[in-house]
Amino acid sequence: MKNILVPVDFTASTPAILEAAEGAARGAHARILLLHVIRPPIVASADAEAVRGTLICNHDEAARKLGECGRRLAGDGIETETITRFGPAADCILEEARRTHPECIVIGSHGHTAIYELFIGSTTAAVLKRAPCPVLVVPPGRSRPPVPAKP
Amino acid sequence: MKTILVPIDFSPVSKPVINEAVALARALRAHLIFIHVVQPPAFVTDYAGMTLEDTAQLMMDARQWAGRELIRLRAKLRAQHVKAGTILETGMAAPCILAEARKLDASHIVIGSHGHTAFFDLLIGSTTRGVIKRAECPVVVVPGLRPTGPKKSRRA
Repeated sequence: MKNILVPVDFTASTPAILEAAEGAARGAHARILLLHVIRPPIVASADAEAVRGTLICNHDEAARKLGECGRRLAGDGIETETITRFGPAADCILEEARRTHPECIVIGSHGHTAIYELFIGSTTAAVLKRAPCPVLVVPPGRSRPPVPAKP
Repeated sequence: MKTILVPIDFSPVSKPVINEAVALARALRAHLIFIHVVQPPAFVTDYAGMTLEDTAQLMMDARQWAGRELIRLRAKLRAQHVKAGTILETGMAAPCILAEARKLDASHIVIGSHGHTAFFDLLIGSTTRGVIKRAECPVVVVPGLRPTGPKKSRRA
């Protein structure tokens, strides 16, 4: 079966990404692979136990949210698998892309970094640079200006 | 009916871009519109022995050539039972593409990761970057080079 790889980070852009992914999956009769990447903390603490605890906590939280998204897609009749990975986001996404040979990757234009970026998110830029397949870049929300009413 | 806008510059990336756009149009039952933007040269004065008249002539030649290429593309697609419209514009590529996308209320833009600038861009082409930054609809970015061997060919 064809795969569509969908990295999500549960920010404000995630609903728009899921909507675009669902449309693509329906059209291509593909399965959605929902991927969440948990990044290691930037500050290494001497308290390794605390770091591990935080990571496990993040993992459980991510698994719960991924499960929710997966069930919602399945409810709409889209076959979905969920994947959680630890590591740098772009590298993990590209590794999963090489492993699962997706038809395309669906990703947000923003939101895949902790700090809001004015232009294109750094994870998305890195994925675009090295992706082995087409990448569907989804804008943050429905920012279309209202269509002027016809007289 | 949904509309997919496909900017092409007839560089090597255009072939995978066209294939991807046709596949997407079939999947979404959407209408395809191909757009080519003839960009004015970066210099506007007499330069290196070229006069302004030469520059104007170059632009006209570029428009004529692109017009013929678009007609050829449309005929080729028609032979594959794919209906497509074409637009030929003159101006700066990214703003022209974004304006057309808005005008057509495009559901998607399909564009190459490179090749939409006169000079090869090592990372992501500047036109593509400009389009992603400001597009109001999802943008499909098609890679020009296949880093991991040839992908299975998609029959368009």
